[in-house]
Amino acid sequence: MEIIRLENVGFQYKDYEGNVIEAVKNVSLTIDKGQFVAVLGRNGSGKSTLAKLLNALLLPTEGVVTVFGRDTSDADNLFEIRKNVGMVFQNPDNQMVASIVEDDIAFGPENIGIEREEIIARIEWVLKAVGMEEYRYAAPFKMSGGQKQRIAVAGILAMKPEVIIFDESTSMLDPEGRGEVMDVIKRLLKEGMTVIFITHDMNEAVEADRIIVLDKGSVVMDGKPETIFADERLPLYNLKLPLVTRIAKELKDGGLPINGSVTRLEALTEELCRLL
Amino acid sequence: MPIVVKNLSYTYMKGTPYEKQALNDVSLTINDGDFLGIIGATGSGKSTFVRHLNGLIKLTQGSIIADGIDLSAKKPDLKLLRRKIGMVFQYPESQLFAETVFKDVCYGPKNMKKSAEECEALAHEAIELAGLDFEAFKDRSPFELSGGEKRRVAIAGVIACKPEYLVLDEPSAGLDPKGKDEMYNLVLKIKASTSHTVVIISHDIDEIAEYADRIAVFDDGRIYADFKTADIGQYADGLKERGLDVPVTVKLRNALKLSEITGVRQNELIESILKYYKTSK
Repeated sequence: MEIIRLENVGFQYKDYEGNVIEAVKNVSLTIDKGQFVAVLGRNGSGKSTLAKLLNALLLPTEGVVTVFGRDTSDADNLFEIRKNVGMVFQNPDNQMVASIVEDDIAFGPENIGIEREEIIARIEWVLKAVGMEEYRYAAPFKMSGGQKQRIAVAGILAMKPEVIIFDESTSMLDPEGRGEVMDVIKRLLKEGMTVIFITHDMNEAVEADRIIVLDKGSVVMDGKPETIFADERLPLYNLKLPLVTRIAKELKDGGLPINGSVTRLEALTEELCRLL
Repeated sequence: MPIVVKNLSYTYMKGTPYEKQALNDVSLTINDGDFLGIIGATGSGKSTFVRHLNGLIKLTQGSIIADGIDLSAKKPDLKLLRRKIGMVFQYPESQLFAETVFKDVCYGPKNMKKSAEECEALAHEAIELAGLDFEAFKDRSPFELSGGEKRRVAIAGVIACKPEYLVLDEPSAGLDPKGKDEMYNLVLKIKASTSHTVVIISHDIDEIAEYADRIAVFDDGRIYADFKTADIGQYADGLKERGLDVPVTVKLRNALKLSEITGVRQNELIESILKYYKTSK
């Protein structure tokens, strides 16, 4: 089932000197319910602008963005769209609004007019979903980056959105924090959530069902990870193969009869164990 | 001369309910010519440690002798210290402030009381070394540049003072994959020309294993291990126990369980596997 549709979407703005900048150009695509979509592209390729167009933080200057069939440019739809498309940003410190975890989580649902009893039930449920039950009364400022980011996700979840967008949400975290956020995402996907994941980390992108590559505001590649990572144009967009694939490819180029496009370490290990 | 740190401890907000010990009896010597990678989980004390090196955090317990400057002295020459040890913070582009790239990069040398000619020469050299064309960039506003360019300008501002030691906190964070490679190549270039000793903090163990010669692992305010990058295989379990990653190359090597296959850097490992395959066939 399609939940997001972009038709010939463009977004332009003027910089301080009055030059027109086209951050997003002529993008048409659809995203289905339950998909795990990674968005890649060089710095300044339009990824964050695209993300903000999906929950009406920005409105397209050209074309139409529809979420659940609702046009984001229609002000009457804003409430429903923002309620259903949550966003987790890069820096967890910028997303905390309260000094106690449960207050922080309650902020979103309170704002959309959820009843107190229901909010209390949701707090329990979301803390469980992100594996932070014992932190209900803790202070976010004392937590690690990964924990804070999980609280940020919990705060979004409490609004029961259909879609969560992660805008480089793991880039400031240590490996453990990244792992924690990735585990939460996998859990959400199992429950039918749609996840859009903006990243520079190819090893994270491998986990997605679909990868969209942006360059200069346009979609230049769109497909399954295996297809994307087999595409020779990758370096043109400042991207690289995941490390495992890079090693596999060089081994193959060096004369080893193995599959040069594996993306997972286990698969590469298997290939090599067969040969060596 | 090396930077010798002995029994360094530090507690934030001492005497308050928020008191937190960030460093606990840390001893580490950074030698001339080292390319030292510092890894460790968030909150393990990495940044607190490097901030001590150039006196941004006042030494309270332990001793640091940085290139002959004793930081436990009553009035250490902090000016000289900061000239010797250049520090590039996380997201350094957020510290740009001047109207033009040239003025921004000149800020350091100017504070060192260099003449206008000297400032210009140092800025010119630093901007070029940072991989930007001096003539094309000097009069531009740093705020209209791309993210990667801004970061280069910020680094140029640090290397314009010609520090002998360069400390970088997560220099590749937030850059796209090509930007990351370019950043590390830039660091290697700086190491070969002006700052012969480099210390990098990073969460990306694959990057550290590829570029650093030596690795110090922080864990809960202490140094868990300090070793040559080539020996990282022995520490794989200890790293995992501390919630840290092991380089992909080491994971692969350990999974293959063949003593003939060696190497931590990607090229070394690939060559070793190819050689093993050819000789065993």
